Amino acid sequence: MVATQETINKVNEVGSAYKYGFVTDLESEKAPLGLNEDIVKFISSKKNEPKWLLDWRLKAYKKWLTMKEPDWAMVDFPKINFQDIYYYSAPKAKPKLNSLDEVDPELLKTYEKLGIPIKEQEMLAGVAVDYVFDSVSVATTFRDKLAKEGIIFCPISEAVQNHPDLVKKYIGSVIPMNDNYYAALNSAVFTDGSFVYVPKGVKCPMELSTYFRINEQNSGQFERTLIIVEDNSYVSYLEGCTAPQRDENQLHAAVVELVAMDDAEIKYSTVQNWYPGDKDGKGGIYNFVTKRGNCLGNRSKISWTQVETGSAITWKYPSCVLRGDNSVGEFYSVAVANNSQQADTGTKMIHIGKNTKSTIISKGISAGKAQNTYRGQVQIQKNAKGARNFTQCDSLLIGDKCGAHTVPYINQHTPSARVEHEATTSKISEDQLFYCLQRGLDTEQATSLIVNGFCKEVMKELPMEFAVEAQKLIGISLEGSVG
Amino acid sequence: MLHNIKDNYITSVNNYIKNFDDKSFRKLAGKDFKSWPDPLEETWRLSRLGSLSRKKIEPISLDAQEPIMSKLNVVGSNTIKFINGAFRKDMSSNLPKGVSLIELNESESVTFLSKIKNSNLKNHPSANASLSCTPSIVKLSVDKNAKIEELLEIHFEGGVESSSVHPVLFVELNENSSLSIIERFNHTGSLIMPLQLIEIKDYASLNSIKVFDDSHESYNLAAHCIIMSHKSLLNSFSLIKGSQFTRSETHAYLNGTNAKLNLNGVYISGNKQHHDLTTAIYHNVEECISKQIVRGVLGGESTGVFQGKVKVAPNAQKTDGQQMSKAILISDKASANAKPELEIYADDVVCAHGATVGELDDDQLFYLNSRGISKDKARLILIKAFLLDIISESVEETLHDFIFNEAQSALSSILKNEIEEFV
Repeated sequence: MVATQETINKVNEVGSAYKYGFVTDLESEKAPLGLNEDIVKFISSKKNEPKWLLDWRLKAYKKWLTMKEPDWAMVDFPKINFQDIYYYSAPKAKPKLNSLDEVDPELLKTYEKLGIPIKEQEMLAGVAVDYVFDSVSVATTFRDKLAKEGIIFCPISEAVQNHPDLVKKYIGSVIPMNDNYYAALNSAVFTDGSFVYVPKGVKCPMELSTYFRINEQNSGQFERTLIIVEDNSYVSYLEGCTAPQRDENQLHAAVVELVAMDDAEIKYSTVQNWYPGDKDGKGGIYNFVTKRGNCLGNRSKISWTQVETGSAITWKYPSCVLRGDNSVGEFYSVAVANNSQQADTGTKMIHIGKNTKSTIISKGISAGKAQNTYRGQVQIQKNAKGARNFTQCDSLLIGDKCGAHTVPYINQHTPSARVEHEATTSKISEDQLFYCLQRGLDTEQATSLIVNGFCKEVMKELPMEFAVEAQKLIGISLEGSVG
Repeated sequence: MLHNIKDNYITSVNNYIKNFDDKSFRKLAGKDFKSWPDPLEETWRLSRLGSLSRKKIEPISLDAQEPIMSKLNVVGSNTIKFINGAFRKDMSSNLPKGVSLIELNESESVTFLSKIKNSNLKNHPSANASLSCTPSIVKLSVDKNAKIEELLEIHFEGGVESSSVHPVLFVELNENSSLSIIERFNHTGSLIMPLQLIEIKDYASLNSIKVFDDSHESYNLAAHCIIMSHKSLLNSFSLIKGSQFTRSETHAYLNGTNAKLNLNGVYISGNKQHHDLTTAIYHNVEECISKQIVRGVLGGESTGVFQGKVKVAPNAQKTDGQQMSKAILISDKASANAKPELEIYADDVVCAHGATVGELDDDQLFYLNSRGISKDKARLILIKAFLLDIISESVEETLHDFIFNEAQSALSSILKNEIEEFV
């Protein structure tokens, strides 16, 4: 793994201020400002979509009009004007690309600044990257190798063209279009995202990875990801995000749907480091994401791992519906909120099948004036005999102006199931801090070290490629919170 | 949604107060009683009152018939009786020295109302309906420095079909006083809406036991507001076993430094009972301690709810807040819901909560089985142990047997369906 050293070095270079604040100058094609039925049709026709998908979008749009923005989360932000957002912006249409050399050099430069050297990555430990640049995928690597195994890994817009049956069958099957306000909005206006299909009995030979990047000013990003893993198959999917510095808030309302069949396993990892706004909370991304996995098959397994350090406001609950008998759901999360960030994040584990198991480990860190909330639900339905859940959520407070909140819901409807929940909130132990200081670390380094220790249980779930980056990120996110 | 439906009961409460003066506390309270809590409202999501709005209920009239006095297990000799929500001096015994009991006059009642309105009970249906319709607000007060050794019993009885009763009690412990009370709710009738304000001044301490044992047709929506001062102490224990639907909601404000609160509870539910223990503890100042242990045993088709919130204000440093809830399901159709919630704005705190829901431990059952104890008997032993544990921790020793017997009687009625050879 020599080549990863470069990634590590790049990450090391990331200094105290938010380094990803630059704007790539690309000509882009925009839909008119605002949202109405015509915009939905415009997006659909831009993507050359079949009629059923347009109808589906329009139906979602109509549902969205009747819905209300959820207000139960412990986050506070000015009302979003949904008519003041561009719902479609894409880098100018280009002929199909055959290799990375054909990609706009501006684009490549952006990724280099981010510390993700594409060319190195191609040779790197088997990471195929599906680049999403402002809602449109421009290049996909390693597709050939994946195709040999029968794995489909492509932008969802392409999957609509080439594999309409699969898309039609599964889109909206985990998260119905009217599931919630933002999911309905996404269903109406999603522009692109990833599509993964792993056929029966295939262990995906490499980690699949997509780097999202919000670029165009005022362009809401509405990604839609759909991952289907057939019997006895396995896939690990990485999602990482950074965004340029902007003064205006940007909305990001993605939908991610996972489907796991008998004995299938999906591992979904996220490192989210979008622009959190400046020290006073000006600017920053609104991250309102709906993620849900459906363990449809017996003995299937879905595992969510997330490291959330960015975004001004996070509203995100990656969930598992454990439908198949003996299926397993996991949720590992680190959420860091500093300065004026607000995070309301957690998970839902819905146990339907027999002997289903779920584990929730959530570590929340609040610093500065930030508010960090864990909100989770564990529901054991009537037939989930022998189901088992263990939840642990710990919060760490750094500074006396921040808040840490825990809001778990437990609904148990079957006696043979067992649900355990524990939560703690405390500040960094004086003893630990003293110990580190005594050994010559400064307060900031010591804090970073202790916090990383606090998060260890989650970090060890991350794939290698992410673990290093994530550790650094936590340190960077907490800069300026002590002393 | 309920709030747009013209509701019988709400109309009759409003009729009840319509002839009072506009400045009367009854009217001031009643004007806020416009609807039952919406099921979409977060704290009422799990305990829905929809069926109440479909019932024909009226506030009980003052000349309502009196109940045939049930023989209650009297533990002590000092008894205070509330019949149909009204304090009955003629049935109550003399009070020990240092304790006084009065009915508040109009201006005192307005002050009482404003205290309730300043708390998070302000929109609670029992707060508004009971202040509108109560016969009187009764204040039980303990003098400064008075240490009352004798146990005080308060019995709430009465109630008739299709009517609501509204006992309103204000318990005040002045500086450095102490008191032990045991309250029992044994109503029949449709709707019981007890409202209580408990104020514990500096250095005062209160031991309080509540037994909710109303008849199985009734709804009991008890609401309590607790205000604690510097170095005050409250040991509170509630046993919920009666009613078809009981929700005991408590808001405790720790407003003086070094206050200590133990807020424990047990619910034992069977048949189609619904029992809800909802608490909120507000740590508003430094160095207060709150501890909470809740246990539930659920049989039949019952549902249990525990919602416990601990909120720590920004300056409430050195707070210690602990909470533990456990529920055991002993029948296939029972269900349990828990929502232990932490809301923390201060950094130098130690707060934790834990919640478990499940059935009896297999290993423990096996252990007893292997020693020749039948499966049913083993289950019974384990359930008893589960409750005995918390009872002995939260109740004074002299009352152990009494409370345990109360719990046992509820247990036997729910277990006889589940365990064949119930002993």
